[in-house]
Amino acid sequence: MSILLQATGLNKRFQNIDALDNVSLTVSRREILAVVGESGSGKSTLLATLAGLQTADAGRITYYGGDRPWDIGDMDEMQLRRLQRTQWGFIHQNARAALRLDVSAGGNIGERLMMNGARNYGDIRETAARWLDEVEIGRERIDEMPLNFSGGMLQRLQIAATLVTSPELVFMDEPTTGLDVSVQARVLDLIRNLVHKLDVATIIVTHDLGVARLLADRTVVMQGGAIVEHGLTDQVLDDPQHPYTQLLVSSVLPS
Amino acid sequence: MTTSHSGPLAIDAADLHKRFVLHLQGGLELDVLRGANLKVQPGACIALVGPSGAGKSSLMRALYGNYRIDSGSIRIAHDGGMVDIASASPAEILAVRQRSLGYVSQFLRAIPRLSALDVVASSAIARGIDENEARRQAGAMLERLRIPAALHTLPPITFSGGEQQRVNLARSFICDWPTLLLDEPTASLDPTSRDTVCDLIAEACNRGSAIVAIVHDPALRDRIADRSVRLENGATLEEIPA
Repeated sequence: MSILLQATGLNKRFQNIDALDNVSLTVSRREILAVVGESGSGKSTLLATLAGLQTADAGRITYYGGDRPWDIGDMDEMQLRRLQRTQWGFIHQNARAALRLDVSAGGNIGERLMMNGARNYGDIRETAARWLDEVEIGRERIDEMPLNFSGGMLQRLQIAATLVTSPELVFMDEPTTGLDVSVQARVLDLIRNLVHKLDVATIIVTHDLGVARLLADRTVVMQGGAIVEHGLTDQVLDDPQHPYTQLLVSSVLPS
Repeated sequence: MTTSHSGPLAIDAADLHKRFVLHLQGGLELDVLRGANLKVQPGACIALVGPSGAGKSSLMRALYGNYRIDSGSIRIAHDGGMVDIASASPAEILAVRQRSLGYVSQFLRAIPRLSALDVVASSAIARGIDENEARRQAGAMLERLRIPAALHTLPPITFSGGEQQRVNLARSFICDWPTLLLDEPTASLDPTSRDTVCDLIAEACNRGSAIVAIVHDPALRDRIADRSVRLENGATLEEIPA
């Protein structure tokens, strides 16, 4: 498996707190990597840093997806934006904040296509319709404003609006956390199907070990800004070795 | 071990040691494997026997790369060579699991919303079988394990324990695994289903699969196993001619 993204020695301090403490990791093409840990463990900071949404105090992030390796820290604003909207995607926990609620469902999907150079209105509309079917919203709702969509529908719309351009790497920050339990399974199942179908590499941050179990090939465990354990997801969850991982695994209520 | 082998092996595990350190219990140490060895040739079915807590499931999980061992080697036949699961990278372990090494746990870990047919077909699709053909084979395998057609489109979460175990078995037996690990494959099955599983095991061995099964029932062991390996206190002790 060839490496798609490599981070080495990331450090980030907020006042007296090590948000990132010498974090290194790799993600290969088509691989799904889960980052688990409790609130405040640094996992969302790590994701935002890897995605170029904030900068680390030290360390290096290299992306191997383009025509040549890109060092994220060396890219200017324009280059980074371009990478983020063409080859990357970011799915936020709060879909309401990520989408434009005053633009139709189809428009939210079409916008990303247009940012990637699509110009033919008919093609854009047909692609948006197909994606609304794909995420089980239904093409008949293409002209509806998402303002009144349920939380689960909004999240599915965000997924469509992100994956429509077949990015090579997608960052997901707690994509099912704000949803009702009955809706979570549906969104998770959708993510699982789509990432496999599109062969997209994914880094997913979650505090839910069940999400990691369902989706991820590999899992890293974060505590206090540092990666304390990593391995195949089933190894980390069935044979946890670090005290903190053992605590996380033993804290899950069996269902 | 006193048995000598000639020819290629499907599994060659030597001197496995595994210690759990339970940090939440004040660092309590549990030695679950203390010198376990296992050699299995293609086409052979080995029964793992021994009292509860002897390390049978731990050994099986170690063979699958699920438990990370502290020392020893676990060589598994893969793509014409041998891969040491104990030192392989995560990507290598996943490749071995995708093409060469199957594992049927005692309990089905069902995926929400996925129908029984899709659960079974997905393992064949993952091994490169065409989707329509995989679904056809999945239906046939579920029928053979007496899961009625009316249930095929339902997610197995609602199924009985025995039905879930049969879905789990169908998912593995639909593929022609070079090596297959079975953790109590017939624990909650009725006699008819048990007969079917015995047939499936025999057919797989005839095709050259190496099978390791945890089996408590002596009668079942005599039916399926070429030989038995006994575990006690985490160590393989002897091999009893079946």
